[in-house]
Amino acid sequence: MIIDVHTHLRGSDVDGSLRELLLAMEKSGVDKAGLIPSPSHKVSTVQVAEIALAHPDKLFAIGAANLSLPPEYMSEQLSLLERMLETRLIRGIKIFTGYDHVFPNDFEKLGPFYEIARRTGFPVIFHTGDTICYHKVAKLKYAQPLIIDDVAVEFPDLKIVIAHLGNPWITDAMAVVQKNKNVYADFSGWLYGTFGVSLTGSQVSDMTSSEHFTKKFMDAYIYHEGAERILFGTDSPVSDMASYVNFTQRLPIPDEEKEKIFWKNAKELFQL
Amino acid sequence: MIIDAHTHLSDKNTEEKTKQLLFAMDGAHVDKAALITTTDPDFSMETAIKVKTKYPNRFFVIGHVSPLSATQNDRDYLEKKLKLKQIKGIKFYPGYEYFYPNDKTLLSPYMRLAKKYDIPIIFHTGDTWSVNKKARLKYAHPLAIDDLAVDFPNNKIVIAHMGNPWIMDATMIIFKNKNVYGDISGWSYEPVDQSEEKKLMGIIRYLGKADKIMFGTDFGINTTPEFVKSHIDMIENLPISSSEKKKILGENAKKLFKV
Repeated sequence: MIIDVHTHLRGSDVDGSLRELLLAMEKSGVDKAGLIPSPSHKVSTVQVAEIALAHPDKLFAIGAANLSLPPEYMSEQLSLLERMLETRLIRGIKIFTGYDHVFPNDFEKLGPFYEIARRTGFPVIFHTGDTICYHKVAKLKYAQPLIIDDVAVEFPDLKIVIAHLGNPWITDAMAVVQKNKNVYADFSGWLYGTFGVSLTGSQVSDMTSSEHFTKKFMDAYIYHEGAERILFGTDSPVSDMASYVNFTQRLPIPDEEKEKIFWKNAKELFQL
Repeated sequence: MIIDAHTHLSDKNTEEKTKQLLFAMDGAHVDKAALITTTDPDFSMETAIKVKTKYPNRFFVIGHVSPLSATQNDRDYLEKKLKLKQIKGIKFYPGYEYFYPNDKTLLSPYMRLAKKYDIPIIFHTGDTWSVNKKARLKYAHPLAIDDLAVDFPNNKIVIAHMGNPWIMDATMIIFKNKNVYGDISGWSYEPVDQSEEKKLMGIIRYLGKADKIMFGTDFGINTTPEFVKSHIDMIENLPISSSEKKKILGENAKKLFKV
């Protein structure tokens, strides 16, 4: 069993990219995938919920906090997200701090979102680390994983996922996961495309080699002393799903730890 | 063409030091070098421009400004030099001077100038030369440059020294922002070796290409030909294509500084 906790659809072609996603899942042996709205909200919370509802065996939906809405819509947004969490139409709330220019420990702005997630027992998920180049307004200072430690301490009953393991701030992200029992991480989206092939067509050798990424993963894994609260995710279509599954299957760790990463941790966290 | 994107001389014994630099450049087959001016120790724009005038094919000049104390006169002077194309960039020294690179109000006038004359802004980043005990590292962290790059998308910015030791932070800023470049100068007082090669390869792996990374030495911290040559050898030995090597060694700087 494999659960991919981190996938997206393309706003420019929702239907086409949904077909591609389902096909990629079949090809990669992924049984279930968490569908996350886009940072621009072009693919919205309601949209991913509807799509997941149409494919209940294959997909589950994760909502997103839209912080660019005018303040007068905020309470409406919160009650909508809360109702969707209660009815399990969504199983978490994604927060794009780097894209929205807000620090995770800005409790005035984000506290209400943490509160509804805590109350319903579903996680908030933070984008951390590198932001995709085409999104020009994103600022990295808001995407540092270290600040999430503040949230974890302030809200000990809130479950938190550090998406992308803070890449390349992996050491910081892992320290936060290690220290706080309520913090999880996925290692999705570490590269464009497939391991071993450069998308840029550049001839720099070795830059997407799985050895390089295996070392990155293993440094974190060894520091953390195991796979507790580590989740499998791809960030498909950014990273290639089949290639990510293959990469994860080849990691030099015991099978029972791999099982936790591939589905056990996710099943429990998202109550699947 | 091989271009050293980061060298310093001094107002004292300029002639002798220029000869040293040329000797080191010749020994390592470096065609051209960026003379970056400084305040402490003094290496003024006047001096640098004189050196450039004497050896027009070997050097180009990067001016500098101290934004906290600069007057309108200083800005006019800078603009005059830009207009005459006597300087090809403006260097800032956060860390040595107490301001953050994302201090928009403070830096706006210079960003405007740089954009008008289409030249890059260069920031000192990372660890600071220990002789200057007053320097404060918090101002020299590269992360604040991301803010500036987003707020001024039409300006070109160079992260000097790649933020060393915050190389990873500098790398992701370069990866993310089209308008941000880096030079690999000043990582070591000694000739560079495998340890620096590993750092450089880490950067190239992360970026997936080499079109915004520039060879530079920080000549002045070490003045031997071996020091300069060790950088070239390191780049020549990287497991990357020869066209990528050429970019790092000079093509990227040639394009950016239009020299």
